[in-house]
Amino acid sequence: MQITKEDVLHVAKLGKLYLKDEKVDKFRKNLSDIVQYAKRLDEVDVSGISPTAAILPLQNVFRKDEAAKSMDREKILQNAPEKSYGCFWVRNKVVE
Amino acid sequence: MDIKNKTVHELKNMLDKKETTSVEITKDYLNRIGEVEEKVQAFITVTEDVALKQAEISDNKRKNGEKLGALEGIPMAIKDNMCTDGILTTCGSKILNNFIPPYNATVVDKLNNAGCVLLGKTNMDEFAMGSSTETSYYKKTKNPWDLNRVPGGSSGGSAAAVAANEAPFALGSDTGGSIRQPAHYCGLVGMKPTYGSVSRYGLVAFASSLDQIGTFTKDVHDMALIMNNIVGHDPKDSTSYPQEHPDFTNALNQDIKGMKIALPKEFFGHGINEEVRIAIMNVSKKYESMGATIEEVSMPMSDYALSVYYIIACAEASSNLARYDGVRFGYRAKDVESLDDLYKKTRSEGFGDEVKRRIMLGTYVLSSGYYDAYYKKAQQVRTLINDEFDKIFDKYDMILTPTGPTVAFEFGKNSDNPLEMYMNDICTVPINIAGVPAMSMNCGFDSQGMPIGMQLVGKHFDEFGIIKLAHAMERELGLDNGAGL
Repeated sequence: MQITKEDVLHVAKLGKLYLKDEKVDKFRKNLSDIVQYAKRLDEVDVSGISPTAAILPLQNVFRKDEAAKSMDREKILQNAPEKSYGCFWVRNKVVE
Repeated sequence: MDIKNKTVHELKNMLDKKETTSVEITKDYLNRIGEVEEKVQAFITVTEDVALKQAEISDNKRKNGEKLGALEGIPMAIKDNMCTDGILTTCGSKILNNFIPPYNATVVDKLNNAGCVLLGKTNMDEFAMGSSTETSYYKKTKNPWDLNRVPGGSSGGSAAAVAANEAPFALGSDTGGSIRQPAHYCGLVGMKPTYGSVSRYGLVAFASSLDQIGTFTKDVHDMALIMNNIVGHDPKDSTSYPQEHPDFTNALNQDIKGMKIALPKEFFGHGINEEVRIAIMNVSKKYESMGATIEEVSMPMSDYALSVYYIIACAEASSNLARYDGVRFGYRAKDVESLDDLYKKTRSEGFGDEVKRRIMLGTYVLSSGYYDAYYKKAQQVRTLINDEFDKIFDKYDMILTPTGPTVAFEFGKNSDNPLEMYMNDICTVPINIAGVPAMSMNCGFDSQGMPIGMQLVGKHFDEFGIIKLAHAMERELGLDNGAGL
């Protein structure tokens, strides 16, 4: 299974990453090697086998619907790169 | 006092007998960090002021006869992917180079409540993605046994800190071997508990269905002590399991006669180094002479574990790491043209190559047209791997394997070839896939004096059984585990 340059650029776009031109081929080769290795799973017959997403037989438990104190706004905003009027701030320019 | 090679239980005894104080011990460790840290590079942040303040509070509690925690006054180091209120938490990444968490991870709260003193936050592979700690944005941690070699990863800083006597114990996290493999490389006891037994609240997520917090200690007794203080259900972690845990120290000094141990032959193939294989066979013979039964078994599905692991771990990571967008916290790129440009520039500048590689791989296996062929298939094989573990544990109490195929390797040896690097995890990843508990413990040395780890794997929530067998072997071997630095 060979991953193409287009595949790499496509997944980079989906993952919101810019790639430098000189890195694209290196990533293409790395990803091809890994996907090639992962392809070994084709040897396994999985017909009728249900997928496992979580190991333990946990069920969703809802907490009581009681009001509780949340974190202070100041604390939540302390890591904001930019903030304004008690909100996270990002520039409002949209892509043309 | 000479803190070199002191264990937590020895320090605890000395504190209880009032032979020393927490401030004195803490200063000794801080001095030791001052002495060797330039060589070892185990810490991203040393929290000297916090440590001395916590130690003083602890000593005052003792002096005033107040109620003491189970680990009162004992210093510790924490991997830098666990949130510490008011203390920089970078996850080894540039993208979190300014992140000061507004809260503590549950494990940090628990250990604080037990009376522990925080010495600092340890180096790690970026977002815990690596097996050598070389992908850290900040520094390269050295193996205290041989400074030309890697400490293992991703919790390499925690392992090196304990091996170099910069901390008596440390916490790490293990997604595919990130505690056990560095414990193996650094001659320590490294425990990855059952998935769901230790809260992940406040642990920076890598692969949520595989991640688990665990311990680095100098011996099995210490591991039992720390485990007693970190396990338990946490309403803040929806995957935390409501399970009663025994006092793990009751597993010490027990007879292991009649215990049944399985030796899966697949874990002894895959380019397992001959010296490593011989060390594990030696352990197996000793168990037999101590009255346990040993049988070779076959776990053919475990051969597919690494493929399953990289598909599932990367898929989960690509989703978990979508939150780093430069908006609410962490690094934000400058001079951007648009919101989309802000996301892309922030992520491109903030993440290193290994993280980008795994985000892209995860995105690929989840993308339209490939989901069934990769992600769903991996989840189905995961079911088969779990079934195989269940079947083994129907007949046996424990599984014994090497922790990794080789001893610690030299810097740069695998860093150009990701797939080669991933092969170091071949013995550890099946355990995370099945969510069972496992630990690595030093069981000997190779011809160059590098430590070799053995891995014990138990059934879900049988950390007690692991400790029982591990402690019996530790007593039998009586090894000197000092790194000599």
